[in-house]
Amino acid sequence: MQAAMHNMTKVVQDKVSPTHNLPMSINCDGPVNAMDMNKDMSKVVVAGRQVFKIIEVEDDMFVETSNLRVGKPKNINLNYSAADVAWNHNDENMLASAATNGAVVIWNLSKQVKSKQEFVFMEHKRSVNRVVFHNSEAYQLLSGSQDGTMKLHDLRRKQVTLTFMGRSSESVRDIQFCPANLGYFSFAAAYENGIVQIWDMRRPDRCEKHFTAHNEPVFALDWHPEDKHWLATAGRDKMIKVWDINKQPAQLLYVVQTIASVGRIKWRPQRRYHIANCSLLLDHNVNVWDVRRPYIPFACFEQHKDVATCVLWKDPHILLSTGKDYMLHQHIFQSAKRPGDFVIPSGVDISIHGDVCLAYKERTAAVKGKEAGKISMFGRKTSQSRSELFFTQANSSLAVFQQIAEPNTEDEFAAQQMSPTQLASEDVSMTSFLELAKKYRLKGLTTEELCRHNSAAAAAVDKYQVAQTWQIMGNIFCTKTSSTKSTSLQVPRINVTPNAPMDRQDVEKGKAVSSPDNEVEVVRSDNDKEKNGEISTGTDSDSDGESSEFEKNQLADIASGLGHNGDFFFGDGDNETLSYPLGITVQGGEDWTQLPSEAFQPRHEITGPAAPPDRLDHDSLMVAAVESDAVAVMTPIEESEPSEQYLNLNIDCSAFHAGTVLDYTSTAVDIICCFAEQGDIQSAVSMLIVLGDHVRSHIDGESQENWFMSYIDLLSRFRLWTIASEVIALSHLPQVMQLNQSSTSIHTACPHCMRTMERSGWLCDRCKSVVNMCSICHCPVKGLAVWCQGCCHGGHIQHIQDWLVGNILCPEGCGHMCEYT
Amino acid sequence: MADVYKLEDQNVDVLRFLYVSQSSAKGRAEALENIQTALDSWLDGYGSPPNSGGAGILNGLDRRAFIQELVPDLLRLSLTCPLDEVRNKCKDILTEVKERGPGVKVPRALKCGPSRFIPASEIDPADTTNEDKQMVFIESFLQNNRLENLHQVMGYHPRYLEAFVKTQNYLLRDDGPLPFPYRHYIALMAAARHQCVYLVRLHAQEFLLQGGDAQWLRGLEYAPQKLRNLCEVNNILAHRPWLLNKNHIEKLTRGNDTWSLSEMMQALIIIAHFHSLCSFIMGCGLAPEIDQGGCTTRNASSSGDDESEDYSSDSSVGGEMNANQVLEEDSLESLMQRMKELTESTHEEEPTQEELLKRFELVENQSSEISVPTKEKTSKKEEVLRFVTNSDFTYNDFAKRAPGLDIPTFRIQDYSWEDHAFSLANRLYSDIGNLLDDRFNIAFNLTYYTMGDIRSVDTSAFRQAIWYYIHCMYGIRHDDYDYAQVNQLLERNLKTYIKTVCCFPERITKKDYEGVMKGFKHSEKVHVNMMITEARMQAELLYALRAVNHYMT
Repeated sequence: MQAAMHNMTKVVQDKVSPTHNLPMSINCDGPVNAMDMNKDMSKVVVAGRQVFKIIEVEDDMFVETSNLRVGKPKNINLNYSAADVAWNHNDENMLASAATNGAVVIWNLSKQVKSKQEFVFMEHKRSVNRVVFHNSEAYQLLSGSQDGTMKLHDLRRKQVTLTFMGRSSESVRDIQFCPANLGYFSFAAAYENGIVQIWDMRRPDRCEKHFTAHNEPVFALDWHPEDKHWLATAGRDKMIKVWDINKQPAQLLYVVQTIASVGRIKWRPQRRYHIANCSLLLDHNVNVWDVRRPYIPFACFEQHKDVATCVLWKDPHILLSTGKDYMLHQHIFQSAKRPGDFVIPSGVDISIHGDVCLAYKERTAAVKGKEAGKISMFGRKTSQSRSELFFTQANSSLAVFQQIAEPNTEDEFAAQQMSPTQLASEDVSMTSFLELAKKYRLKGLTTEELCRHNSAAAAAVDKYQVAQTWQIMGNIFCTKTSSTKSTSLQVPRINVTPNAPMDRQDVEKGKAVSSPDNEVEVVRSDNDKEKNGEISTGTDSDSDGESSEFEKNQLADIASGLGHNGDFFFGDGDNETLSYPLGITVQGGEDWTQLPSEAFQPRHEITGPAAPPDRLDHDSLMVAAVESDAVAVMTPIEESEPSEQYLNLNIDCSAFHAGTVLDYTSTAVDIICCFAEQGDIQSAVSMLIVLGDHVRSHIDGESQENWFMSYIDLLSRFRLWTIASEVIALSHLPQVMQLNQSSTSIHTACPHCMRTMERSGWLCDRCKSVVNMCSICHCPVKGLAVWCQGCCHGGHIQHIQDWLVGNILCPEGCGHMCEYT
Repeated sequence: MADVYKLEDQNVDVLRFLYVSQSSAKGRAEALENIQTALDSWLDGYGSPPNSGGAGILNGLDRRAFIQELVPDLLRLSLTCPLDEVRNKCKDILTEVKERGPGVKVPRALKCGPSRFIPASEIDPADTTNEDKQMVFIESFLQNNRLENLHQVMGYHPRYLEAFVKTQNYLLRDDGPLPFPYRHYIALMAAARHQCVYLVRLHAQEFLLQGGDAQWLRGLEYAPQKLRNLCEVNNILAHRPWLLNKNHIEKLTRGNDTWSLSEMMQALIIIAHFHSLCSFIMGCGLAPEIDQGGCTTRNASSSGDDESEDYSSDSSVGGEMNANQVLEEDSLESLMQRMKELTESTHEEEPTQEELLKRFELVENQSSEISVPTKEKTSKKEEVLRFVTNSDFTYNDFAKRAPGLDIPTFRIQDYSWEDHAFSLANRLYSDIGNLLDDRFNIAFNLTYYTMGDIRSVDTSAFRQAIWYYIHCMYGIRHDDYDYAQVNQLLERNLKTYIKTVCCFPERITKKDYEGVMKGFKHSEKVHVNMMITEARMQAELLYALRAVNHYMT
């Protein structure tokens, strides 16, 4: 009682702990399997295979008062080696122990003789796993055994009064009485097959409740000391689960994931959400969990050198534990290690609008860069719970990075383009996707015309890169048939926001977060990697004649071994031009039309596909050209020269032999694959459909199917059903085409019983009657039927047509003025 | 010796060539068709259209020799494949080879069937009509292109077979830390401990099929140091698992050529699996696979000595044992009677704890008194011995363990499979725990409520006695079991049999097999062998995992 009173004062401020309680320990001379306390918590009994002792808990030390294991030190009597032990809650002198040989032994400390053993029950056939005294009935002892039974022993009559046995003969691993104030007759039992049962002592024939708590053996359970519906279970599956058993079926409230199978659990008194556990193997710590924070222990005690076997709360601040390392420890909660203190909480995510959100602890370096908002407090929800929780005050910041227009961007650029922010959000919000899905034409014209149409469509939604690609596709695949003529292709001036907005974002992210935090470092290096990857894959689109100086810069950058530097792109004083229109003037040559891609063939060299040997000379030439371009581009930037620079690539193509037909299929295939890899599944699939036979055989069926499926999935998500079905129809892949052929029938329902008529449209299987007869001829309608949606009468389409020639009212005579449209 | 069998000279191409175990019927049909066409053209050398290859040489291979090597495998497929179409096709091909083959000798299978102890007529043939079995057989066939004799015998207990096949497949062919050739090599090392030629051959072949280096098969000294390091643990686990301690584990995980914990876990489980499997194989007297020495090209007349050539052993011993048997011969009825008494008289008088412990020690000591037929068999083959180090290290009774070492009895309550070993195994090698758990449970709980011809018998006492007796031999004690039951239920010659199968499987003979459990059906004897296998495996694993656990903590 005194202790309880004492606790009351401590509830107010947990961190103030009583001064007279110290961490202490005692060696018990043998592995301890279990322990229990007497009711005023002044004595502990510890029991193991070679240990059976009473230990007095004093203020500053443990004192061994008596050893119940009498006789020879190597006593072979198994009654002394206990798997579990219990101290009577009412009778100070009564103990019970469970032996591995199936005996339940009663001990009487008031006996004067040396051996305190009072009585032995040999009722169980197998090992007894748990013994518990009833909380208020001093003479009732319950035992649960490996043989699948639980027996209620009456200590006055010295016999077993009741035997409880579940339906299966699974071993009972743990039993616990419901706390006295909550349920007098109830107890819970945990079984080896993962089942937990709630029993009522008055009904030994069957259990009250029965539910599967774990998939593997349950080793321990514990009733919540205050909430009678809460039951915690734990088992070999390394989980502690908290159940609300009042619900039917029992509802799982919390799950705590531990690192090893759990041997024992014990709720912390006066703390609703705290539970202590110890593991059966490997993990030697005694952990205290807050069930609401299931991934990291709230507190842990690391004193044990071998697995801890039993835990007991003396009061909310003092915890006793025993282990296989012979030790009995008293832990003071204040001195516990708080693993939560040692982790650095941080998280990064990206929203659908392209905003990057980073949460991190404040002790990291101050955040530079563009923060749109700074939200502090992470991990705490209400101030109410704050006082209750004792997690370390986690001061952290939440920074949200947004795309913000560069203030110093070139005028021309700003004038021509939307700000990157808009661009970014638009790109992610998929309006252009919708637009394009509707506008693209996939059939009905020649390949060339389709390409031209689609190119215009893409250009209309500012997807210049895609538009250009379409144009090139058109050119590649129409020239095969067209006659050679001499024209000059002026690649339009294009302003490209290079390499997609995502890239900017990444750069920004990398730049803004310059804290030494590990995780951020990882993110950052990822960015670099990603960027490099994009560059290398991005070369395909470059080769489409669409030039991006920006990327060239990057390439040059990489080539010259300079590290990436965010400031390079977004530095304040940087007057860099982001767009360099590129004009390519091509002279002569019969195969001139193929030149746009030819001009950038060297980049293909980088990515892999081998060029025909007869072009090697040109290739090397072009590599040189590109490199010098890069240099040329670099220079003006440094000198802050005028922003526009035209790059004229004058390529003499007369070297080509007339009539050499070059096959660009592989190029086209590369382009399509590249789009798919970049995630632009729309372009990839559309091009695949339009180019059809030209490229289909060059791409493996599985990826084609994947692309189609994802595109169709996307379309359906945007409810573009018609387009989706058109795509399905045009796919040429049997697996995809099947989609249009499944679930194509809709059954009508019988007007009498509302049952769907699956067999035929005119006979109901349940009513066994013909329904929906023709109003004119009164025969079942077996072919095309028509009916008025107003009065539901109708019939053979021919009959109704005839009828309506001369009438306006319903043929059935219901008086409805039927309307057939 | 016409059929000398050489491990390292096997032509793996033969097996790859005959790979027909596709799961789709169509794939199989195609594979068979290809085999037939290829053989067709090779048989005549220059069929139509004339084969352009040089006479008898194909891709640098001697074509005739290739066919000759092919034939035993074809024979095997034609006899033991559970799939009708494969069997029939192979038969056809074989007939054709016989007729047209220029000098190709077509062997015939030795008569004995899958087991030398059990008459072939008692065992379900590969084309069994029992659907459950058929399914398991096919599954097992699809896994490595053969229906092993082992599986055919286990087919008595399809439920167990299924769990067994699943585990073995997981151990050898599924995800795991060890490279595939390693797994088979370890299996081979484990099997060699008990001189189990059957398993050695089988896994030598699998080892090659998985791309293992044929050099290794010449002996342990050709294998990498890492595998050789495993020898000591292998020896100890095979014969005296109680000697294993954390120092052994530490030796493996420290220094050069180290084993990671999960690699070691897989290796330990493979070792335990194959040690105990040896018990089953020898206990049931499995005959060699048809293509691995189970066929002969000799005439039927001269086959008499052939049969006993490879695996002989029948005649030499057993004289003294026979005498014992006659004396102690115990009918099924009396066993039934004793079981009945046991169940009825549980409440007579409670034996004291001391007595219970004495009983355990008694059983332990008695078991050590049982003399296992000691024969220094000279037939230890070089084929097997090359994978064995320290071949004199054998089982030594736990009760007679060296007194200086102070190895206490292993208490199952302190380290049990369910509570401790399972979690550890699963932690280091995911999912294996559940698979083994299934196996142990099926083996321990399987019963058909029959004994011989008697129906509706509760055999649990008998089964428990066997299980605990085996654990007792390895020094594992269950506190809550009354070991007097072992003596009441298991008569001396059955104990001898169990001990021989468990600890010296290489010494078991047909006479031993026939001499015990009179009145039991073959399927029940296989059941007993199965339990021996699993109990032994569990015992070995308990020791191995406890050592790992000690090492980790």
